[in-house]
Amino acid sequence: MVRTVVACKNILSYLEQVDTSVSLTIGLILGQTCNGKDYVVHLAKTSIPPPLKLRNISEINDLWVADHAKQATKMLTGGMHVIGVFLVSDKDLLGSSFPLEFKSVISQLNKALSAEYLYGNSECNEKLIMAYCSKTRSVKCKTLDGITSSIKPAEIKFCEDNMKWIKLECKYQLDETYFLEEKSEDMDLREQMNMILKDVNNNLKSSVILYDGELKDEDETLDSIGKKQKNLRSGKIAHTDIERDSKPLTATILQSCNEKFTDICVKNTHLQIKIVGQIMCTIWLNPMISFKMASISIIHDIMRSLSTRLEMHWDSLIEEEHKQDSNSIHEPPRRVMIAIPYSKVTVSDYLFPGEGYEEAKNSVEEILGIKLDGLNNVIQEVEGSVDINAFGTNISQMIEGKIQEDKEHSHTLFIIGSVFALIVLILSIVVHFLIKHL
Amino acid sequence: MIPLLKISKSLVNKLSRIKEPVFAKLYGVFLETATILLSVQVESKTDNELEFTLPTEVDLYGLLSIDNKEFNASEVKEKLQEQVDVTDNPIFLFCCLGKTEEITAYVLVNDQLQSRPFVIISEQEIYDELVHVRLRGNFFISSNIEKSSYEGAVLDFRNSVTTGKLAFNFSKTPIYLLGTECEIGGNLSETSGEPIVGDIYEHSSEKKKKVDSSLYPLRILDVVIFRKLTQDTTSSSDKEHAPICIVTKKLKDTLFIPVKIDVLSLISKQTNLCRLYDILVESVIRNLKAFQLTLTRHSNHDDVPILPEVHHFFPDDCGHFLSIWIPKNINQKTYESSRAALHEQFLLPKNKPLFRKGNEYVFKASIPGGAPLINPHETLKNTNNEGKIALVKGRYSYYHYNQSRMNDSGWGCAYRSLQTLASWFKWQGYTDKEVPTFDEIQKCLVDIGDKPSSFIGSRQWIGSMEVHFVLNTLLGVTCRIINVSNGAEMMYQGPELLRHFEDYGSPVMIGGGNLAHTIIGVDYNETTGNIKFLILDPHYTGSEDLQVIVSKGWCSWKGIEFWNKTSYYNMCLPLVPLGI
Repeated sequence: MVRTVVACKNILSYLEQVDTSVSLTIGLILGQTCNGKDYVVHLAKTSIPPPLKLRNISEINDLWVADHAKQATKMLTGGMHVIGVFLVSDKDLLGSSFPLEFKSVISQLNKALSAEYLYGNSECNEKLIMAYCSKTRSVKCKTLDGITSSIKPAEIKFCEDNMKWIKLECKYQLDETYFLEEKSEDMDLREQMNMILKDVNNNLKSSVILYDGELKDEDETLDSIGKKQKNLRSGKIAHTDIERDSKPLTATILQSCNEKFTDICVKNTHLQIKIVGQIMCTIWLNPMISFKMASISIIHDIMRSLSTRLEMHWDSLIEEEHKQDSNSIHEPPRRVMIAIPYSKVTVSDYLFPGEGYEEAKNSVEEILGIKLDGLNNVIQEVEGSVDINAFGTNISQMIEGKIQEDKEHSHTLFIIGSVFALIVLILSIVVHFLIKHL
Repeated sequence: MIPLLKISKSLVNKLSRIKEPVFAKLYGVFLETATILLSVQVESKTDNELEFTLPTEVDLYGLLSIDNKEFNASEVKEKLQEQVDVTDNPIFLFCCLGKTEEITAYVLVNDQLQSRPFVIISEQEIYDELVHVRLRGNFFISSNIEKSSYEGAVLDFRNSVTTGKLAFNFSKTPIYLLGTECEIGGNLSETSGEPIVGDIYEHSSEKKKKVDSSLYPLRILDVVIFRKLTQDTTSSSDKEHAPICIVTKKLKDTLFIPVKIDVLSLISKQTNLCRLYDILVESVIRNLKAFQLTLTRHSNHDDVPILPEVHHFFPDDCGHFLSIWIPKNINQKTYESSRAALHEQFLLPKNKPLFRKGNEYVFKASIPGGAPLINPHETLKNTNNEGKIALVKGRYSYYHYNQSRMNDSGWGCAYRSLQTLASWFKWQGYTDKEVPTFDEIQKCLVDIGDKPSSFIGSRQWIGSMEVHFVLNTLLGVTCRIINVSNGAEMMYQGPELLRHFEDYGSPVMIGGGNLAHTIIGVDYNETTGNIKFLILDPHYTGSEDLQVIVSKGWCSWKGIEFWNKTSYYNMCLPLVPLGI
């Protein structure tokens, strides 16, 4: 079966506008794979470090593309992937033979995207190669299997209408405390963060996800929800997209409570990490996607977002802070959502405390090549930030045990005080008697 | 309108055990149309904390007075107003000492005691209208080792329960309760109107086999707790802060306490599912309060506390569940006075244990697959002997050949019969010891010098005397041995066996003619002299299939011809101590 690629007309006009006079252009295809079809959402040009100019595909550095793909994936919501690479040149690159250079580009790309908890590679191993020839004004597509290296033809269709996407939302709440036993090996902050990621990932994988409060059949597709409801209420299947627009599908994630502890135990711990806060998860899915895939996409979104921000936080610390020996509060960057101008789909970026929208605008432009007109209406702040100073008293309460200690301390002081008073009293009585009898 | 008044028959029956003037508390459930009084509780000398003993939704609805003179209306009114707070119209029952079957009922309306008609209903009628919900889930909390710290942690956990973080799933159904706003998942939407608990019950239980319902007569809906990891998107417009990490370095002892939720609620089948969410949350809170009380009461300051555990009991003739919280692994002896108090408080006979570990109610869901069957004889029909019937009392497990992956076919029948007898003592709570294995039985006989050491690991038979020795040594049980010179003589054992089952009710092992069997009942017709024996045959080699066991006669009534006319028989009748 020939693989089908679906893209909007504006993708084609983007390709048409690329200047091929001095160099060829390489970039990433961002989109979603659903039931064997690839849906293109956006093309992001890979920037070439100046003053280099690509005249030939043999000059492409695999690592530029791979690194760009990793950067871009971090900004994509769950379910969206780098589904391939595109090239624009004045030659017909996919004309007669398949250039071998593409194999190493895709192989590096797959490798970069397989980073743990990034979930950069979609379920299917095939990546798309799309080549536009400015001379013939034609687009050709092939797929390359990352594992078997087999090349297959693909067919691209440009559609007039905007693509339909179903918006799915949930607010994932983290509130976990981890303890490290004294005998366990010393971990640096990165290892501690990995421990958290591993635990959250395991929890999510064993969880139950409900959609608008209902447990759905895994194989059912997302669009069935709206249809059914319509059917029941008004007796006819009408356009439900409008309704969906205003009211996204809500996911509820449930965790079963089957802790394995059977008895009370005491452990000697030396470190306690509490992670608390909310990850806002908004993803966009093709209406034909199954609920099984939807659940996977939600989990990927949460994990991708959490691992990205923890990594960014780690990277922002200086080396001494990696192995800190005192109590500390870490505030990883928070998520903001940015709407792609010609689509409903949003991408995300992360802002450190104190950073403004301008930073998000810059990275969207730099990594995804999206020009944003304004700031306030396209960048959406979905997560709040903590004012650690204002939070001060609460956090010291969170650092459990501290309040306890103080109480005990004052208790001891009270006893010492009383004993001292008693001694003074006895002494004065003795002295009183002594003086009297002398 | 004041609803109808219904009183449980077992409640009325229990009143005859009251021997002196007393005021007692009446607990019951409230339905749309009627109040059903289920439980009566009197004061006891050593009082237990009973706040969370009855299922959720069983509340104090009134008082009872038994006296040899007329009651004092103003005193009664005062007590009712003071103690009963779930209803504005508390119930008052009165009867004369010694004439407890003559009850008069009153309801307090506008400060006046008005007499009320009532009906007495059977346990079956009650539990036709009601459903038990058993809610379970395992959590854990962590804290510092000091008492104040873990008490605080339990309290914090309890508070977190009320913030809508829990979801409930009806076991083996796609139905989840997420909150009070009635977003009910699953496909119950076809039913018209608001979904009720009764619908779920029909939905979840497969067509029950007849054999099943006699062993597990109570309707119990299993519900499991889930934790919501997401916040309702509609609930608040406030953005919560993004995740932050707080790292605390401090060398200390950290206490990890598993918190097991296992709590019963008793509700009407007509209960709306939206309301059920609140009831279940309430039951979790009650569970946690009881957990905390037990944890605190049995722990010394700064010692590692002992984990509280709950045990559910449904004693015969009691008519309702009692859930008792005790510290894990507590010695039965230490707890004897508390058990005695329970017998007194709930007017239960004190001739046998009712609240030991072995007496726990056996939930169908908690029996592992492949475990020996419990009381297979309960599905049998009586004989047409028209005699006096006496059967084993309480529960036993059916042990037979080839269980626990062991091939003992041809030599292990007496061991199996012994195991059945031992299981009876465990189930009745007389012992905490597990049913002995073949190895333990053989080792025991070697230890007491009855057999040489080569006996261990052998395939040698044992007889009635050995069964007695082992029961006596391992469980401290004394047995009476009756010799019967041949199989035909068994027909004269009717009166003896009747008396045994009536007085003690323990299963009887019989050996003879190379075979061992377990007698679990007798049907003796005094006029005709005909006798039937209810035999549990340990020679069955198949799987735990009740249908096969019952239909193929592995558990069935046998006539006198069952016994070999030329064999000599020994019966081992375990005696049972009185007491709780």
